[in-house]
Amino acid sequence: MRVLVIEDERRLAENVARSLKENAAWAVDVALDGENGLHLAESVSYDLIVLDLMLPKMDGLELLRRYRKQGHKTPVLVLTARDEKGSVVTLLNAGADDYLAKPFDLGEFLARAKALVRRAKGQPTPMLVVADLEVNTIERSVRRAGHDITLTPMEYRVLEYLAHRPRAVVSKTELLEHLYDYNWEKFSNVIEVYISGLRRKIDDGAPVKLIRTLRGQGYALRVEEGRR
Amino acid sequence: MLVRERWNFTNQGYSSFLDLTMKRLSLTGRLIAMVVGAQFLLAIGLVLVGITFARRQLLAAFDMSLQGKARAIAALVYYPPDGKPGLLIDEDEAPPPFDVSRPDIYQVTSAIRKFEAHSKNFDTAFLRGEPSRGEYWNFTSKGVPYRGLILRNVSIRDAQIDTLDTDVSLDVFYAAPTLDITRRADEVGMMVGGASLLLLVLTGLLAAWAVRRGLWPLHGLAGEAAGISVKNWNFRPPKAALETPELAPLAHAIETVLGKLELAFEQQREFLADAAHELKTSVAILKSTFQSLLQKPRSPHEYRAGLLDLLGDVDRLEELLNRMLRLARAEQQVADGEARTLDVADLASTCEMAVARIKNLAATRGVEVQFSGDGGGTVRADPEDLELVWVNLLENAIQHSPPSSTVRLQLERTADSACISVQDWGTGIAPQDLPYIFERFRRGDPSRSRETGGFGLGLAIAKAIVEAYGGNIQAKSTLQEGTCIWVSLPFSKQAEPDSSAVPSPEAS
Repeated sequence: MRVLVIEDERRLAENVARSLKENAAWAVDVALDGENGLHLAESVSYDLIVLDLMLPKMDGLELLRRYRKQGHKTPVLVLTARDEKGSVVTLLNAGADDYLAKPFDLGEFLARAKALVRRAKGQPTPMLVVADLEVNTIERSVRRAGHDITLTPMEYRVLEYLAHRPRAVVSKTELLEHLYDYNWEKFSNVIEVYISGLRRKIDDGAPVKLIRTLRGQGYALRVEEGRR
Repeated sequence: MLVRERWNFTNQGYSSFLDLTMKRLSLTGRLIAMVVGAQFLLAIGLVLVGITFARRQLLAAFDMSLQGKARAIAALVYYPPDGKPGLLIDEDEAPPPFDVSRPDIYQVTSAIRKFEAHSKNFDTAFLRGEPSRGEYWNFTSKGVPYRGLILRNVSIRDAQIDTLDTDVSLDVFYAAPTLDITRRADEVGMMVGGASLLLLVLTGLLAAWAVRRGLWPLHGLAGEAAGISVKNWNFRPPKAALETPELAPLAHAIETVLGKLELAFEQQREFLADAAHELKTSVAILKSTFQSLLQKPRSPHEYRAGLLDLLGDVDRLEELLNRMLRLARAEQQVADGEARTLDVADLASTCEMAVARIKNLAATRGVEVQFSGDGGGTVRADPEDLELVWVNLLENAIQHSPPSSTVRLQLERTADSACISVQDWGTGIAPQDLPYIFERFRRGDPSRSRETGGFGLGLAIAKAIVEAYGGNIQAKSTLQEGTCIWVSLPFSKQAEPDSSAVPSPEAS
């Protein structure tokens, strides 16, 4: 998952970004003003946008309206220090999916962020289940057929992304875009390394293979029809 | 309520009962009371004048008829035909009395022969207090008021008198009851009084209607004013009120006052919201730093880094609080018109102190600060306050200056004031933002960035302090060329420090 944090308060942005990286193992980009934030939001396909309202150069509400006008569906979680009822209604009506009043609890923030991401991808609970594979996004633990599987952080990121959209074919480019933040050098062949790692840990020795490679298209996490 | 009225009464011993009554009445009541009261006095006057006039006229007519009757009686006098001495009156021919039940009284006396004749009800007591000739007087007979007259030396020519002296001169007394006059005069009075009373009632009603109608614009105005609240500042004076010359100034005054109040209220609300926003943000940072530090077990090195972060966050919160309090204090001084005028500040030295204080920030950002000025002078102000103003202005200029540019602090003097300007050659301020740069938290200023470390309070503090000392602050700016902010402060009036104990009225 890749998140954009648009927050002009550098320290707050740092803390939010750090907790997202550490707790959710997501890739995080930070924009410190509205213009930069909108530019990033428009050019990168994010899984979640965390938006402060009072921003230099462009107001958060204005940014949100412009972003939604262009048809982007990425969930937006607004951080606001203003808790007047009217502004909350305005926010939600402008296309925000959720909001948190400052000062907020970091745990609650993370829970809401995760909920927004999984709901946007059609998952109702933090426990993602594909056949006998269970991905617990709260503890970041993986089990298959009742056995714990230990993954590296990057392997987990790849699996979590795939598990959020079971059956869908995810291209290598999409994986690269959603797993790394702006500051990383991206090499498409590292994805193959993670996939092979995952395949070894999850599918080796299992009667049913879950991780599928569709040549020239990408990867999918699904039970192959007819090979059950 | 009662106690308060009594207090009023004792407190304002001079106020009469009328004043008190009037104060309890509404404006409508007062106007109606005044109109009706005036009308009532007029009616009483009219009744009195009417009665007096009628009485006088009736009396004149009465007197005329009395005289006529006296002469008529004199004409009825004859000597007894048998030649006996005496006088006789042909009573059958006597003029009819005004009132049959109270007959007239008369007496005829011959001056020479001492003969006399009189009516049955005559009594000599009536003649007591008889006035001089030709005059009338009043007396009572059996409780009935009479008015009498004596005609003296009325000569009569009786055709039958030829044997005796032809010189017959008579004194005639004639009196008639005056009850009738009083009654008629009272009738006139009652008529006038009744008509006045009717008119009084009509006038009262008319006045009530007219006053109510006249005050209708006032009610409209009051109704509109009653709709004003913290949530609704919309005040549109009714047209009727604006078209009433007496009410138009009031309506405009209310409008103006409300406008100012709304502005002040809005500013306060904005300030509160902004202050709350800043404080919440600061707390949010602190809280999130704590929570992210506790998110998982960390190494001592990480904890140390986290604690240093926290320290920085607390420093920032402290700085924010200090600035907000400083601003509140300066604005309070402006509002109270109270600035400590006992202090005398040397302008040049405060400028030098400010430049020294800002040196580190300037060096970090690679900006050179130049200070130039002639000897300066002294102004009535706390030197620390002025230093803070210059520091804030310089800080603002440095934050908006590109590296290796210059910021110039200049001190000039005019006849009665000092002019201190801070010029930078930085990003400049857009014309639409220029009017708002001195506002607290400078919302909507695109150049405001937290990266520069400001809260948007520096210029607001500078403005408040300068205004507290009776000076003013202005700015001009061109985008991409730079900004110049200048302050003008009045020189202290006194040369000797000892006279500074008496604050001059201009100083505040």
